[in-house]
Amino acid sequence: MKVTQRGRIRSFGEILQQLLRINSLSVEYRTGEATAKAIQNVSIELKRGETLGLVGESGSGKSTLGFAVMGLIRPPGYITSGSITFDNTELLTLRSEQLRMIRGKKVAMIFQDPMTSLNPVKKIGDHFVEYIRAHDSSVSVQGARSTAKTVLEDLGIPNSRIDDYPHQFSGGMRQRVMIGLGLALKPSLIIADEPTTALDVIVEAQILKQLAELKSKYSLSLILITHNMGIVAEMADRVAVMYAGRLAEVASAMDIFERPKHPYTQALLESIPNILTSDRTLKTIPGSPPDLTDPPTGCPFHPRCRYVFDRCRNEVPQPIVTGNESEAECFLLEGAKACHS
Amino acid sequence: MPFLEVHDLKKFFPVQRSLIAQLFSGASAQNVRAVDGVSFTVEKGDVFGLVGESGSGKTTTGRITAGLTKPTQGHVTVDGTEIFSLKKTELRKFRKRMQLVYQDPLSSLNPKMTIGDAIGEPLRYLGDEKSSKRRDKIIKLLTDVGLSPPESFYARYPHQLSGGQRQRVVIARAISIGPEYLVADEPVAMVDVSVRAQIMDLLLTMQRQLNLTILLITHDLAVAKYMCNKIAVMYLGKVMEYGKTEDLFKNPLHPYTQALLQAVPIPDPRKRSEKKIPSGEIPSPLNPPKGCVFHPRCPMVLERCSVDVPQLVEYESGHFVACHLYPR
Repeated sequence: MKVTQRGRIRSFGEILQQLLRINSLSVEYRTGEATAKAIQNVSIELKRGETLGLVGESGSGKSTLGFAVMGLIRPPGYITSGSITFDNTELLTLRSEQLRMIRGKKVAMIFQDPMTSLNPVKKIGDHFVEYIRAHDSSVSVQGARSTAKTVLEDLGIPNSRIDDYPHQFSGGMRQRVMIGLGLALKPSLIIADEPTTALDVIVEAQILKQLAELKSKYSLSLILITHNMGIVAEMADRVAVMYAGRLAEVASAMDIFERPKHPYTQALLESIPNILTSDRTLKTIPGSPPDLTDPPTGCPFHPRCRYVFDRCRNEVPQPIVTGNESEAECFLLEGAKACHS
Repeated sequence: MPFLEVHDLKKFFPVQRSLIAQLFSGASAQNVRAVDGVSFTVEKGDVFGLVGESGSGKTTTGRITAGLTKPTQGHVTVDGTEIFSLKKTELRKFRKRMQLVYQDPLSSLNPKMTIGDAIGEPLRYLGDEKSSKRRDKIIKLLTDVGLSPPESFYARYPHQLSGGQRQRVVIARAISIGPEYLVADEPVAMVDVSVRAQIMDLLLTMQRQLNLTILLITHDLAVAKYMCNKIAVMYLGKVMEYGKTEDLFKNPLHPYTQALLQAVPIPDPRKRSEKKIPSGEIPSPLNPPKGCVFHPRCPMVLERCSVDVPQLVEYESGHFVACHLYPR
C-alpha cells in the first residue's frame, strides 16, 4: 500500500493500471513585462485504455498540459514544479535523447490545424517515412511506407494516395493523416488537441468515430483536449475541467454531466445550448475568463461564481475528494470531504 | 408582405486563371457557384437562421441580403424595395436600415480607434444627431449592450477588452443608427464558451427591444435552435430545407438535415449512440454534382437524384424541402 500526497490509499493493482500521473504540475510563461501562470498545481491520472476529456476555454491551460506531457514546454515557458510519470518513468528529469525514446514512440500528440502541421512540399508518404525513420533509423524506407499504407487504410485513405501532396487532400483527410502519423509508431498514449475543431460537423463526427474505433484496435489511451462539452460527453470515460490554469474538477463523464460538483462546471453546462432539449432559456455566466498575467486572488472563478463568499476571495481552494477518483477545488465541498475520506 | 424576400438568388465567382493555364487546358473560365438558386422569405421580427457547413454559401447569401455583394442573378426585396435596383446614393441611404455583425470582433474593430469613436462612426456618417448629442447616444448604447460603467469603456481601445466585450461593442455599433435588419455572421463562434450565452441573449434582447429582423448565419445547430424561430439549411449553394425551428428539429425531412442533426455531439453521456454518418465531404463548388447536389453522399439516393434537380416545395404548412423523396 502506498499513501499518496492527497491521502488516498492506492493498491498495487491501481498503480499497475496507471499509465500517466501528473503530480502538482505548475507551468509559467514569462515575458519581459509579465508572467502568466498557465498551469497551477494540477494533478491528474490516466489509466491504461482510458479516454480522458480535458475541457476548458481558451487560456485555461489545457493545451499547455498536453505540451508538458510531450516535453514540449520551451522558453518562455517553464515548468516550475511538479512531476509527470509515464509508465513508471519520470519524464521531467529525462535527458533529451531519453525523452526522444518516449515522445512519438510511446506518447504522440495530434494537433488542431493539419495545414500548418503538414509540410506543403512533401508527399504524404514522405511525412511518414521521415517521422518513422527519425525515431528508428533501422527501419527501411519501404518498411516505413508499408506502415504508412496500413495506418492510412485504417483511416479510410486508399493506398493510391500515398504520393499525393497535402493540398490535394480535403480538410478531413488531412486531419486523418495527422492521426495516422500519431499512430504510426504504435504509441500507448495519444494526446489529441482539438482534433476536429477546424472541421465541419459531419466530418467531425466521422473522425471522432474513427478515433474511437482505432483506440480499441491499437489499445490506446487517449487524452482528448477540447472546448466542446458535446464531444467530451460522446467520447470520454473521465473528464477534467480546467479553468484559468487550475483543475476545477475531475470525475467520470457521467458524474460531470449529471452531478457536477464545481460551480464552474455547473454553470458551464447550464450555459450551453443542446439540440435535444426544448427549453428556451440558458443561464448565462457573468463576466469573462481572467487574464492569467493578473489573475484574481483566491479562487480564480470567484468573480463569476454565484455562490461566492468571503473566503473564496482570499484563499485558494485545494482539491477535495468528492467521490471515487473524483476531485473538485471548491470550498463549498469541504463538508462532503468528511464522508469520503 | 414579408420583410425580406430572396428569390432565385445566384452568385458565381469567376476563377482567375493565368493565360498559360488557359492556353494549356483550353477550357473557358470556370465559376465557383457559391450561391445557386436560393429562395426564402423572412417576416418582420423573425430571427432567421442560415445553417450550413463551410462552403455552403451562407455567408455570401447573408452579404447579398445586406446589399454588400451584388448577386449574379435574382432579387432581394427588403420591406418592399428591390435593393439592387436602387441607385448608388439611394442604396447608401437604405444601408442605414441594414447592419452587420461579423465573427471576429477584433478584426472588425480598428485597433487605433477608441471604443466610443468606433461606435460613433456610423452615427457620424449616417446618423441624424448633432455631434454634441452623439456622445450621449454612445454612452446610452454602451449601457444598453451591458458595458458598464460606460464612461470607462468609452476611451478604451479594443485590445484592452475581452472577446465578449468586443463583440458587445460590435453589436452596439451595428444598432447605433437604428437598423431594422441585422445580419449576424457567426456572432459567437470566436467567443469563449462561458461567454456565448451572454452574447446570444444580448442579441435576442436587442431584437425584442428594437423589433429587429435578424439573419443569423451559423454552422452550430444548437446556437441556431436557441436563437432562431425559422431555419434554412444550406448545402453547396442551395437551400435543402427550411421551416419553423420546432418543425425542423422534430421532423427533419431532408436526408442532409437528418445527417447534420445526427452528427451534432450531444452534451449528455446518456445519449451516446451509434451514429449513421454519411461518408465523404462537401464537394467543390467549382464542379458541383449533377442533379441533387447531396446525392453522392445521400443514404436514401434514388435514380432520378443524379439527373433531376429537386425543387423547393412546401411539404407541410411552412415547411419547405428540396428532395425527390417528398414529391409535390
